[in-house]
Amino acid sequence: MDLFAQGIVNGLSSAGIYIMVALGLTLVLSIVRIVNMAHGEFYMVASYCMYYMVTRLGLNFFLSLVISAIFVGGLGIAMERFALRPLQGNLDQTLIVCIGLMLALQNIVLAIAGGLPKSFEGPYQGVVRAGAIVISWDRLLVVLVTVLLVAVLFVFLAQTKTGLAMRAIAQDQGAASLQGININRISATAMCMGCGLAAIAGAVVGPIFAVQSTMGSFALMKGIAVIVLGGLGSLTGAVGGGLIIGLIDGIVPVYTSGYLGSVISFAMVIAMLLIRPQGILGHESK
Amino acid sequence: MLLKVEGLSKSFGGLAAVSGLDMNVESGEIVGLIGPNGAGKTTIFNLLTGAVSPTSGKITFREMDITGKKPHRIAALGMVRTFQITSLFSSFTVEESLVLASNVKAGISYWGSVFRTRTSRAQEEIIRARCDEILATVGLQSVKYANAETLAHGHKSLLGIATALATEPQLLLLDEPLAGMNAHEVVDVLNVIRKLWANGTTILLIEHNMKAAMSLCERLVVISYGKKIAEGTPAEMKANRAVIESYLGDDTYAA
Amino acid sequence: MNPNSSKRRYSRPSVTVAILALVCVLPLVFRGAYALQVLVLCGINTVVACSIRLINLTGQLSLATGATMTLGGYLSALLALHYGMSPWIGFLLAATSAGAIAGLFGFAFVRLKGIYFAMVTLFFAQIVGLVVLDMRSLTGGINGLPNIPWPEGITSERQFYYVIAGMTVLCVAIMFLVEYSRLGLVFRGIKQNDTLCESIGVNVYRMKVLAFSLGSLFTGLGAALYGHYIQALNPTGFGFYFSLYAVIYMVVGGSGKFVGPIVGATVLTLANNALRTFANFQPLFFAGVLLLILFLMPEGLVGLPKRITDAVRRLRKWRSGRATQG
Repeated sequence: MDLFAQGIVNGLSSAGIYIMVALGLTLVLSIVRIVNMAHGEFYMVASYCMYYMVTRLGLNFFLSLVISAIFVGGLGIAMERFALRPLQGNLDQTLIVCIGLMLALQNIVLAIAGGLPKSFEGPYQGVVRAGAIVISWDRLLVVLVTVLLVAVLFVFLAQTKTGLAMRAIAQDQGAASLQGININRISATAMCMGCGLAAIAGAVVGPIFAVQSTMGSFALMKGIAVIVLGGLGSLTGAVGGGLIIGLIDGIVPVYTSGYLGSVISFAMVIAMLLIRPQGILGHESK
Repeated sequence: MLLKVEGLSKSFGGLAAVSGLDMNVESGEIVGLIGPNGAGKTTIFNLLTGAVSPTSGKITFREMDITGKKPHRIAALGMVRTFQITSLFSSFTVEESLVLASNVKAGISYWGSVFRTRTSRAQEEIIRARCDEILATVGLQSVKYANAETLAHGHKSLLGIATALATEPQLLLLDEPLAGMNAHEVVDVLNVIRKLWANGTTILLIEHNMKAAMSLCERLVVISYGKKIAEGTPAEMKANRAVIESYLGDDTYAA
Repeated sequence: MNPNSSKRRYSRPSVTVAILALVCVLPLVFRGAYALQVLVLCGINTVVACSIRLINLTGQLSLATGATMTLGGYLSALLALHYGMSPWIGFLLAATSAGAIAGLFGFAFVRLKGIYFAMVTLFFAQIVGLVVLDMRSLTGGINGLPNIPWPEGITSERQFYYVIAGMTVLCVAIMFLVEYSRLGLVFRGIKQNDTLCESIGVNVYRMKVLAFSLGSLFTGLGAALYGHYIQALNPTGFGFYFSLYAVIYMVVGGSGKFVGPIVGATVLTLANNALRTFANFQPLFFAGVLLLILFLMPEGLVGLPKRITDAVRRLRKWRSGRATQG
């Protein structure tokens, strides 16, 4: 029973990562209208940035986190401006550009940093105990950061002008531009935020799992599973889906090989597609 | 009775787009579905063809209950529609569009076609001949090899009708075939529709052009706010109070 | 006959014959096992790239190649190694199983449109890779399967090359026939306007699954052929990256024309071989070429001849303009 509870606790931190990644993916897909295949690579790049700043430069963890998020957010803006906007509307081509960028980023980092997995330490050492359950500070940090980000994001979208503009674009881009909303600027902002979310996820995951060039693909796959389950375009769905997939990944290793968690998630995706293709909270699209 | 509609209703969220529609179409008729803008006419077409599933009600076509069936099944049974904003295969030629539509109905063997068997080549010849006939009926022979995208507006609508025709429908649903046309194009299309009806095709059409609808249709069904408010011959409808009132709120009746 | 259809300068049959002759002659010019392996790889990549195009006729971009190839390749190899089954039959089984499994999963995948379909198929490729890696006792895990036998009757690399070349030609020919048949017409109709297709009675859902299944069949065959040729398989060989490469071959060559994937696969395989000393940079090289093509020549390498003639024409006009001013 203890192991199971421990599995849940671990699952929550995995869920946090997946939620952040999926939220970023959803933001970008609703507003910039692309499903960014390179999204996982931003997560990965941020993780490597953290590694260099924390271990080689000895910077403070949180300072490094902010720098990484800004750097990756900037990369996202550059990608949106130079790679995506010129191909405006052509979905096939944007998909392929994202594939190209994913491949490029993954291998540039591989060339610079080498293939050996890296790791770095989180800001707080040690563990927190609650009864028989042990949760490391690294994992607790992930959960706290996730909760904070989700809250900030939802408030931002509900209360701020930019947030409202984003929701307008997500609903109907044409109508939004007629209302005077600067689509380009808001798209860039959304891209920056989406990539920033991925970056923060990458930054806080480093102390828990190894940092390597393939981690981006892993995160992307989880992100896809989450958004298919939770509902394409739904932020709440991303949170719910992330919880489900994360908990599966936390509990399954207690009983059997860890990779089966991925297989179970995949099976759930298949089932969801057959029963309700738009996901739990998604809208019926035509 | 070719088409029988009983108590058909559709609500989107809280909004009732169509309520309690009862309607029939007999084989060989040409019936018009008219009413002011936003009355729900296109929604009715969507319900009939299976693009949208009804909240309640029953649709019977050729003695079979087709309520809630998928669009391609209903099309295969013989109810085919055109679209208000003409829907085309933009990079196909006119001929290719018709050939595609004919293939589906003719039940052509796809694998036979891949391996160019003698049967499939014979079938293809027959289909090509049929398509030429349709092009002649509709008046599009001159643009047979033109890309669908490059056609004039009137021709595009005719192509939409021709594509639907190629499936040999029992019931042809035309959604505003005259939309956005100049006077010359209107005459052409009206002649084509009359010709089709004379050849025995049953037609149900939505049309906003009142003069055209009245001159074309044997019988009219008038829809307002999702409900049928009147039904009868064009002459009867012209004199019907409820019909006139429902249109008074709609400026385009001035036609 | 459509008078506008053929604007080719060279007739199609003569080009085909020329290429077939070339394929037959090549192993005589490039002797040696290594050269033959490269040629074989060209053939396999061609089949795979063309199959991506086939699936893309309906508008779907499949990234399941890694999965279907792993399945096909491993099935044929395992049947030969553990049950002594003749690879000739193994090839057939690999193809049909890959197609069937893709079809089964396809019923779920096809529910998604466009980019989501691509993502889910990529997920599929990842999962298959993970499963194969884990079933160590069966698949040899990370070490893969060594000593995969050649088919009976094959005694030299060159003979096997001819077999594979023949299979490549056959597969490409079938895909060509499909594309220009009524089946291909339906696929292309679905890509352009699936609502219209539905309304004229096409079962779009089933057709998309069919396209996906058919394309996957060819990739499964390709993997089986290659696995038996190089006599070894490992899970990273046809993994995640291969899914991406298959698409890159098609796009770089030109996704708009039938010969595009053939050109792309051949050129990139040969280029990759020429740069084999930098083998570690293969992914980066492919990514770079892909991005260059996307932004500078989006129609793909097949558009190169036209670009050159256009540039020459403009140069001539400019020169004659200068001359008259002179």
